[in-house]
Amino acid sequence: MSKSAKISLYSLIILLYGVIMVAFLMNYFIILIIVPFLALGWAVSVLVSFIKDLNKFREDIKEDSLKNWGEVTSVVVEWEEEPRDIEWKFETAAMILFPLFILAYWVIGIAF
Amino acid sequence: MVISVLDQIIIWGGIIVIALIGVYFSKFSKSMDGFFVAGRKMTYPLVLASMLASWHGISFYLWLPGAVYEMGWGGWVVTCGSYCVVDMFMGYFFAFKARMIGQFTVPDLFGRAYGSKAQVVSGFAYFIYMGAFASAEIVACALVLNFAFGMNMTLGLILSAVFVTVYCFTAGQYAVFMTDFIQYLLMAFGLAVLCIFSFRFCMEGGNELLLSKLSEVWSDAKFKPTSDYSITQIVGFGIIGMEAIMSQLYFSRAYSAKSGKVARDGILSSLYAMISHDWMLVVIGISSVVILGTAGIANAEQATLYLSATILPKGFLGIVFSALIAAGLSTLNSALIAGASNLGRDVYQKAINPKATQKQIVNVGRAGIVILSVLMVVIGYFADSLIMLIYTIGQIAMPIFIVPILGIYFYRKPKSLYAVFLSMGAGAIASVTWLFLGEPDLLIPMPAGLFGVGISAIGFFIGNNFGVKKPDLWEQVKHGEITME
Repeated sequence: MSKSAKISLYSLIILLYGVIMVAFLMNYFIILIIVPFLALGWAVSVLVSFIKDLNKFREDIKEDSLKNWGEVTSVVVEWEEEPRDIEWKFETAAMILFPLFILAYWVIGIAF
Repeated sequence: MVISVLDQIIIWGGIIVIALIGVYFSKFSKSMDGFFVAGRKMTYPLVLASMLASWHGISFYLWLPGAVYEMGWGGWVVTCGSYCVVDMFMGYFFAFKARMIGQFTVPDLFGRAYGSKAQVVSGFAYFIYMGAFASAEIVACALVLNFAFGMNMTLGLILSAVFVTVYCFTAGQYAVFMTDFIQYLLMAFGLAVLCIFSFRFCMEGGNELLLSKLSEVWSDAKFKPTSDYSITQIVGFGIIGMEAIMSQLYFSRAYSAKSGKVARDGILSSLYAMISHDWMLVVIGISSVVILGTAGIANAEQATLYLSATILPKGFLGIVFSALIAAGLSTLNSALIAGASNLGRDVYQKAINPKATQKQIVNVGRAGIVILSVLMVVIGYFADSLIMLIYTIGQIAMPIFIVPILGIYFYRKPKSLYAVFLSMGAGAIASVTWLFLGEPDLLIPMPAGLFGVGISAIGFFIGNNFGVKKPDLWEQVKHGEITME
């Protein structure tokens, strides 16, 4: 998926989740009609993503079926820097927005 | 009730397909890596699906609509709000790091940060916890079997345990991931079906009509974001929601991922997908109120089952019940494998036989699966209600594990073995005592879990003044001092 397609898709997802969260506060339950389609959308995207890389995955795990119980081995763990990619940027936005919504729910619920 | 033959065929067909997939993948589990962390080769869709399927069990699918049915839509915010926030926090900050130091179990981290004796003790504690955690799932599976087939609850408990034990025993984490994938798709489809039918029956007249129907049953408080819940309950569920910090299901998904990025993106995306499942369960809870009314069912935890039986035509009921059973099996198998890795890796290899071969370690893990199955059936047999079982286990387990784990993440100074021992011991005793006393207030509402976490934190800082200290885990990683053995 291209970078601009990713930006559009991730923005849409954040917007959709935001709309539902606000609708809850207003007791506008009818908006929940989109929820099963949202969940199915996630499921279909997972299925497509799995099928797309199926051959690569099968090649990748093939060697494990040829293994025969060996002795315990030791591997040194190497430090890696976490990539600050487009996914990370949207995850950061979600990481800020979602807890704020939940906090607002708790505060409004307890205060009123 | 006993459901139609067509629905029964769909349910048993789903179970058989899952079992066959599990058996097929047994050929990949010929090493510790294969059996406990699926060869560390799991891709983004598999991590996402497995995280959701294992985290959202059948008990959750029954009690969340029940909570909404009984308490209002705030049942979701109160019981799930903190888990959503904590999960997001964990995925964002720690999934990548967890994969990078790629161990096998959470107690592996205890061993690296506090010393090998901490790994053995926490490994045993986790082993028992996984059995207790899974007991809520097996009770919920038995409830569905009882509802669908009129099966005796005890027989349902035993049958579910035997089934899941057999495929975990043979195939390990590979089977867990692959069956979780199928189970996730089934769960999404089944819940969506129930949700769409629910809308057809109760939301056709628009929001105003829906609100007026709900008002006939719900008091005004149930339209609030926190419904009728007391502050003690809100804080209590908030503590349970912190389970993600210590959850082995979460860590084993991160360890099994192909890379740090796959672990982070897979786990965070699973959370967004989980929230969409939560909302479907809110719809089911709201629909139960409108369709079944307050007089409709005796036990709110059966709202999903009664609603399904009332509104779904033949065939669709089988799909929804298959989805519910899939939710149960996926969480059960993940818990059993996590517990097995604790017994094999943390207790047997670290305390009894350090020179054990991979096969010996996995065989001990397999014995652990059988022991855990028996344990969860016994706990499930004596459980009064799902929600109380989940609440009690959460209130006792959190104070045992949370402080030492937060210590690993955030307390970046050298740490002593006594810190973890005193923290775990004091937290366990304090929370059990507080539960026994009926969770009295202490100036502010004080659930047992919160009291236990407080005492556990005091124990941690007192204990850390004694004994030899190990350098901070993250410093060890940066200096290339961490190995997987």
